[in-house]
Amino acid sequence: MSLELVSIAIPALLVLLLTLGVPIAFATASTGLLIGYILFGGSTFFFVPFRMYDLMNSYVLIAVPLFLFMGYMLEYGGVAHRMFRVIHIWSGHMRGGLAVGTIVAGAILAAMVGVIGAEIVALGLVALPQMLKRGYDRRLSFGVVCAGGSLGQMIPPSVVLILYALMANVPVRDLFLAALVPSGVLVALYIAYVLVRAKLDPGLAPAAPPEELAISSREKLALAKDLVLPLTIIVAVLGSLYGGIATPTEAASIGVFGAIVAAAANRQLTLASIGNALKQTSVTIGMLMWTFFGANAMISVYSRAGGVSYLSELINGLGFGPMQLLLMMMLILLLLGMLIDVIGILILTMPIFLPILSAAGIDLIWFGILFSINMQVSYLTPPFGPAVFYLKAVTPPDTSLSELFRSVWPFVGLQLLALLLVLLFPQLALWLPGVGQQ
Amino acid sequence: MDEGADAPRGPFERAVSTLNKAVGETSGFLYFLVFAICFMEIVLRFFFNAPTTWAFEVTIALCGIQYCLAGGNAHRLGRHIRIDAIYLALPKGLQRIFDVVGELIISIVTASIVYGSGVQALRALSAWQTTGSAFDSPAPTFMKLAIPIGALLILLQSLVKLKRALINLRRGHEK
Repeated sequence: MSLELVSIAIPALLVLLLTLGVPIAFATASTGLLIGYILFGGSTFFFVPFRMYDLMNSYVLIAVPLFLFMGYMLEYGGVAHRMFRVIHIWSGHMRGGLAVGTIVAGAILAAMVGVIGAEIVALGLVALPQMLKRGYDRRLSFGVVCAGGSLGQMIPPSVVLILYALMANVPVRDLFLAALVPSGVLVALYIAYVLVRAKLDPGLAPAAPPEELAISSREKLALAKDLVLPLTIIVAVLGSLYGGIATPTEAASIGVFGAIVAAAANRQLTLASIGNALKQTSVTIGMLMWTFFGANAMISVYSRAGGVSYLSELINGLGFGPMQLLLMMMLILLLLGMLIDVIGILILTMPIFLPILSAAGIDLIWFGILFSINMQVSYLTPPFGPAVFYLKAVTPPDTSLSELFRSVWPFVGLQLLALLLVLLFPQLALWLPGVGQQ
Repeated sequence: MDEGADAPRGPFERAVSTLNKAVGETSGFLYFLVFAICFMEIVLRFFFNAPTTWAFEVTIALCGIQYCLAGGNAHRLGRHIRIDAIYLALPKGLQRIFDVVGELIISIVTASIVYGSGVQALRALSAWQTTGSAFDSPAPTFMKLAIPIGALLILLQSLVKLKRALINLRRGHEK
């Protein structure tokens, strides 16, 4: 088979299998094995497991199950629910305060959990009913929960960022640092949007009635514990990582320790809660790692055939400048984001994009952040918008999927604005890691 | 966290599903061990300036083995990511046919992984491969054994699902 034919046969076979409903893990593995068998014969059967073994030997990858464990532990330990209650009470007197509180809670959760589904369900169960009860505009409330709850993929520690760092061969620490300012930009844009809307049309987000806020300062202070605990965990995890005390893997184990302490402080530390968190971690890892194995099999067969360098030359032949190249990739990612899950996009596109980007002299940390913001959009856009699907599971029964999708458009606009800002001003992402190196 | 309408029936299906549930859930506890080792390592290095020689390779091996073993349980629960936008829009009859074809493909691909990695695992076992580090553990041998075992677990679960899909297909035609 010629390289042209291979380059067509692989995506064609993959699309066919995915259409049949075969999971990405096995669709990619069978594409890789079949094409590999045709090209290289029986040696493919030994070559593919060897690549799996390579992946299993990654030390950085251990951070992924540990961060998942930490996230599930915080969820089962009741930390998320308590934290939102505090933010809710503290932000209640402000017009639009509940919506702002939801975004802030989403961001804090994101810095601890990083499991998108869990976050949106938590916000949907705790924050949404309170906003609706207070008479907040439905669409604004839905949009805030979806956008705020998707931040987990972007704000460190994020599983997607760790996997990207592994594939791009950049330090996790630098990538995490680079994500901080752009995440802040996103959060600030969301909050500004809510405040402007509430100012223009006070009916959208009424302030709390005074009697609801009539709690003593002592009670308010007692609630502080529920906020201090999560913030301490975040500072300990990210601080130990940025301070160079711990590797990403060790920082994750500090996070697990913090999560266990927090659950104990809430009197929700039981063998059952630890067991459930570990079971959840195992299931998520089983999915994640076999998807990684499968995609790795396919990509390594393609790259062994010379396909990756062939594609790079093909794209270089287009004579695109760096900015055109980036715009083209962003467009491809946005389109894929409407159809495929983030992990799927990451492992299918990056082995092809990354060598092209390196050759064009584009900073891979910067690109990682652009990718992350882009994937924020993918959580909200139809037809495949995971954030919206998760929220649908916990909204009142009269809420339609199309109403939910209509609610998130303003936030998609804000995400695209953030993407444009980081694209035009790379320093937003690269300033902090640069400072860290001095 | 259950299989709903596709709950296992018959001794073979029940045995496989029970096995995968047990392996998936029990092996999850390895992460508690991994957490404990990593955390201990920070304390030993930071406060006592006495890092261990073994923490690094032991945690890698434990995690690597768990990655493999967890695949079958994820398949049992249907948690592997699928792109089902098109699949869901198809008529029921066509979905049933796709289920059979898809599961057949998964069985074949996992069987070929069992074969390839099995041969490598036997080679590693007979040579008793070790890491060659100061600690020199047999981690490579165990990790290479985990791949065919993990793939076999998925294969077995896939055969259960294939059987289910075939039964659903036949029932669909009878109606």
